[in-house]
Amino acid sequence: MGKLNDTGLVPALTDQVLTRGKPVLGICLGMQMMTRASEEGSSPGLGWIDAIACRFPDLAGLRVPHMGWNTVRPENRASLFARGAEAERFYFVHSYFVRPADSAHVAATCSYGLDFAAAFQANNIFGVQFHPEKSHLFGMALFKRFIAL
Amino acid sequence: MKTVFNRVIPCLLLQGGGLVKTTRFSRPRYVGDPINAVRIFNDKYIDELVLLDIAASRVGAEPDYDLIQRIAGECFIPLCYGGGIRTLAQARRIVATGVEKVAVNSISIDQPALLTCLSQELGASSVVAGIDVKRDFLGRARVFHPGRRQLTRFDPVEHAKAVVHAGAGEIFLNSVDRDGTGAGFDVDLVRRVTAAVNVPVTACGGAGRLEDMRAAVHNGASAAAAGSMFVFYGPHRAVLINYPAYASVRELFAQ
Repeated sequence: MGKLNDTGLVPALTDQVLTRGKPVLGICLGMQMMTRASEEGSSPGLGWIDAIACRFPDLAGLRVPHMGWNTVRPENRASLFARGAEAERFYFVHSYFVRPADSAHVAATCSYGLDFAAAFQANNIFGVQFHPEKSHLFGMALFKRFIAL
Repeated sequence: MKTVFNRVIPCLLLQGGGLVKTTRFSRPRYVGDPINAVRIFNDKYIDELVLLDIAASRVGAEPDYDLIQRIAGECFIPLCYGGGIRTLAQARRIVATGVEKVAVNSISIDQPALLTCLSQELGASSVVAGIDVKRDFLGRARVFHPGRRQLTRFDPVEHAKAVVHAGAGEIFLNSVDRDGTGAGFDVDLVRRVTAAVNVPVTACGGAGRLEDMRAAVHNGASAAAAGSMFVFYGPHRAVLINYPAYASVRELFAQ
């Protein structure tokens, strides 16, 4: 957050996203930065969505980071995911995950030790914990849906 | 609840801008143009790609940023680069090309504090500690220093704990004695290292068949990597980039 604040872009970004309603997609750390706060640091986040970023708990046998390909379970209202018979899989690499205050903002769920938000959606604000840019077929399809919004 | 798919990872070796494959870390054989190989792997929708420059750290050369950038530009798949990284500035420059994970090996033996620095700056998830292991004349597993090409006195299990403590988010565990042999992974080593740390471990060195990868995963590896298996084909080891179908990999690990 410190580096983003240093760019001086935050007021302009916030204006575009909150006032003008431009669609925005946060990826991985980008998704976590859209929240109010994170257990990873002390600076506040952008606060575009009422959520916080938490670290995976210490569970026996749970290797952290969550690293690799996993399937997600999209909600019916989620705009960025397919509705096919085959579950879409995406590449994850993260030690923290986002917990939205309002469960209605969860767009897709993934399980790793616990159920967490693989994606959120609040009006024009979208976040994905995985890396669509590294998730070949499935990632490209997601970007196409985002661009078509 | 704890599942994440086990990854099957081609590990490509760079030397002087070309792609090579070694046997027991020696006798590099030229196998082709890296950009071409990466393009083929990209089209095969592989789980992840590891790219190691085996000459950079030995001769103290800078990573080949231009080549790394061209490779990263081709990749719509996860990419890890290692070789010749000795500073935070070098790692930052590599991440800026579009590589999401950097692997450090020699420097994590010489200067473990760099792992802490990399992990704080890039996030632990982007920092991979490479550990090469070779058996000494008594058959004991010892950490091999790839830059100096020398066996150290470090026990790999203790070294693995140390690099994770210092900040590594993943371990890439390579067996020198098995490299290029197709004799199977050093599963005893894989089991002991994976039991000692709570980060994902990728096993490398010795894979000759998919069943070898299952053995690595059943012994705790989160991912299995191979070179020869994915660049050579048939009894005469003709160069042919190949990768198993997704369904067969899932089936393999489900057994």
